[in-house]
Amino acid sequence: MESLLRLAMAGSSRSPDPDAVLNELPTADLIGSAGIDDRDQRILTLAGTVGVYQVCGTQCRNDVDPVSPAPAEKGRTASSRIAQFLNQASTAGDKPLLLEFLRGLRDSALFLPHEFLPTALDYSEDEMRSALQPSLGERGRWLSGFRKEWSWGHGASSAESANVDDLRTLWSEGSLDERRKAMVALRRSAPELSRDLVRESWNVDKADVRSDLLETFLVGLSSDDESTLEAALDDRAQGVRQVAARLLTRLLSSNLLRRMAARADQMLSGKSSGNIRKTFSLTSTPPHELPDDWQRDGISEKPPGATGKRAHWLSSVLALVPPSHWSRRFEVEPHTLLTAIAKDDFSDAVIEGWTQAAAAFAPLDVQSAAWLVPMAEHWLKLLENTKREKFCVSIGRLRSLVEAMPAKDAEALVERALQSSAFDMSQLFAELLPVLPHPWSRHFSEFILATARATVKKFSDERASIWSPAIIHAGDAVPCEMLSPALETWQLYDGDTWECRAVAKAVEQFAERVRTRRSFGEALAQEVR
Amino acid sequence: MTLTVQQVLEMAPDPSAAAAGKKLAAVKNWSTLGRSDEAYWGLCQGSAVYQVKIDLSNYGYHCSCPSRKFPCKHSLGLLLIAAESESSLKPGEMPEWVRDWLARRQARSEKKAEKAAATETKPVDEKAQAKRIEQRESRIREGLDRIELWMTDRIREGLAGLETQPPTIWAEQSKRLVDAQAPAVAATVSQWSEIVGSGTDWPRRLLAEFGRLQLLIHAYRRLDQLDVTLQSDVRQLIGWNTSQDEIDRVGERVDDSWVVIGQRTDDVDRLRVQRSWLIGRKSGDTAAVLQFSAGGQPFSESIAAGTEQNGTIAFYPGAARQRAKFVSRSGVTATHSLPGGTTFELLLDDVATRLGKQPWMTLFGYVVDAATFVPRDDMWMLRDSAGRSLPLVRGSYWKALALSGGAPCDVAVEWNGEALRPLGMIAGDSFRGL
Repeated sequence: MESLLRLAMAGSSRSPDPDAVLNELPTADLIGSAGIDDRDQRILTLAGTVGVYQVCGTQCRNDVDPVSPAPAEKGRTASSRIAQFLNQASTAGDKPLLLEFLRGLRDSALFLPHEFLPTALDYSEDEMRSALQPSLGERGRWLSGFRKEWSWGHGASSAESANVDDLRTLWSEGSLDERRKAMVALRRSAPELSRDLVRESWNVDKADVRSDLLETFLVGLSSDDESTLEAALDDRAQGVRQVAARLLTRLLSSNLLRRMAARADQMLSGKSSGNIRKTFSLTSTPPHELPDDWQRDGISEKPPGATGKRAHWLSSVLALVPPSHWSRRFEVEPHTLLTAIAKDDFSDAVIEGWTQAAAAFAPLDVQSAAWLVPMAEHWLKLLENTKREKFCVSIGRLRSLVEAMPAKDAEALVERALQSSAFDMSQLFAELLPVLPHPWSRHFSEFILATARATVKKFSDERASIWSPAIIHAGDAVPCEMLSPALETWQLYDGDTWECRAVAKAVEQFAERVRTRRSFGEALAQEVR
Repeated sequence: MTLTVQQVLEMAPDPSAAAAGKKLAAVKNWSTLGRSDEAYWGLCQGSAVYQVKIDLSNYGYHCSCPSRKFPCKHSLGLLLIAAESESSLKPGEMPEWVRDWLARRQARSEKKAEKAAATETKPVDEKAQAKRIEQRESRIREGLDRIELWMTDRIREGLAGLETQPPTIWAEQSKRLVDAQAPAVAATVSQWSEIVGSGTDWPRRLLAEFGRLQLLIHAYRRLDQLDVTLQSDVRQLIGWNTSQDEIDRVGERVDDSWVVIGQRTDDVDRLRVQRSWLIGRKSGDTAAVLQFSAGGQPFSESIAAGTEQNGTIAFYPGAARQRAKFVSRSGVTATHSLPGGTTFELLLDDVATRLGKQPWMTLFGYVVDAATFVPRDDMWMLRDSAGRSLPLVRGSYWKALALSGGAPCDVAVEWNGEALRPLGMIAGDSFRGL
């Protein structure tokens, strides 16, 4: 067929001896008796007969070894009905729903349905992998052995499963993504080598690559990394310096934090006055010129937007000092400090710095975490009196604090905000509800649903439609034990405005979501029965 | 309900209809849900209240909604409720609107049979008919002469030049064949436009296609020298319709319990073509039921992969004895095993035998016993119980491997002469579409 194909590709008119090619074909004799005189017709007829001849002569291969079968499952596997729920959530890219389903499977001690395993193993995000891993079962672990990208399924990422030499090669020769993965693996298995490799590459890599790779030091960050990170503070690129400074602030005993605390102490002083009613006040004195050593530690000279330079330097330094430092230094509660700074010229910058510091240090330092609620309450108060144009900035700060808070505190704060009539509710729903951890508590769910039900029953205007995103969001967030009560009929205002239609649509979406979650729960209950 | 949820979902015309059907598969969306031995029915609240009914003899469906998708989301929703929990449908007497619909279906079916019988007895103007046939024969022969000349020109000049030609050259040739009243050949030529430039082996595939058509032209010119069954095949491949009357008169009928081992739906030009592979549990016969739909219309029959039904099929006349249609069927159930299992050696022998009878066959349906999926760097293989392997068409078969766990299982396949396309498998004790 190959000779015939070459002849046909080049053209019979260009072939020196086409008949010689045709006569060699296995079906040539057959065509000879068919009385086809035209050479090109014979070529076509031979192509047809050779095609059939080849199909009829297909041979099987005998050299294919079977795969080793999967070990028996050591537990129960979920059915294809569960697979439909998982596939639906996965296809829709509905991560929250998929995570909830996976939690349900894990809690019911069921393994993933086998048909869902390839989809499951394709996930690359750490959060999804962590949620999937406990439910992979023997079949999933077995399947993950067939593809390098799936190797996380049997315990490690492809980079992690490699030995140190392989990782070193990957680091030297791989793409940026591969180098990052190799570095993450080395951070876990050979942190000393990881530090050496990063230092060696500083003269070779570009600035954005250097900062990108330095970010991996967050994995397994310890005081042993301090000297490397300190050296990175001398990098010529500001981006690298800022990454190094940020990492150093996560080491509560680092020299950088001590330097920052010393600078902050110089800028912030407090005094008590009055004899009978003692009042405590704070005064800030940021420098007029940015010292060189501050820049080395990641403080940028130029402020963003319309902020003044001195205010920017002040808030940048305060953001890198654990708030617990101030509680200890002035021996007063956070709300006293907030009152004390209120009349200072740079009070906004100080509060900005403290807000950032509270959100950043809360996970690392319990005493700093105690600042979250007072700081958030301060922003709430501020919001009540804030003009609309500044509202977005303020609520962004509040959001960062709520994100760092324990669920109970965060829900209480949002509840308080919703009970106040001073807020732009749409901003609250857009900024705060999404950051509350799921599922909501029973109390908070009841509060939201009751308020939403009462509002959409009473109003047909913007006051009702503004609740639409919150109602939709509640479909994801209400806890499992509240799914049935959540489906009780909603009484909507009987109107034909677009707001009424928007609310009706939101309620429909909410109900659909709750029904899907409830159906999954019922299906799961049947599986384990 | 004997259909599984998966089988119902596979009946959906597109993924969005399937998703919409799933949303309606909750009892709360229905004000009435009922069942009898003959039908399921329900009233679904949409923009209005829609009457949805399912004929259990063959899973025919009807909904009073204005949707142009078939089955619509309401029909799918009702089927899904029945598949998930038949007890949600209360047994009872059929409402009048369901009885009327079933009666109308029955009447239509009888009328069709009567019409067919009437056609048999209707006097035919044989002279006029012969003239029409003669005229068409003449046009076809002219059309085939032209396409043959065009192909030989391409061979003379070289196929390599085709890659730089505009795609309209194929459409032009196809249109000429439509004018020549050879629609099947026209459809074949139209599809050649997708071969050129696709993959490194396009010249080989195109030359094989040219060769197949040349053989067909050659056979058509000598039609009277061929066996009468092969004549039917050649005429069908050119585009002559096989009349219902001819199928009834000449087509071989086989009663059996027919298992739908797999199904494919492809878009060809503006047509949707559904090919369902059947194997008779008793006879071991293999048949392909082809259905066509245009403009989003439903296929005339609901045939689901992984189902089994008692019934009679009639093969289209021809040496291939492959294409068939259901004459009657009833008692559709989900299958738990695939009949007619074979090995690759027997499969290839059978293919050679069939091609010896009708060399234009391109697709063959089989069940391979105790087969295992084997992923390899370059391609996937299917390995049979005797340790022999054939390649699978390019694609990803991880789901099949995950379901089987590397253990042998019965796999329904379609062989295209070069590679196997898995259609379904038995995993656990149920059929899974692939």
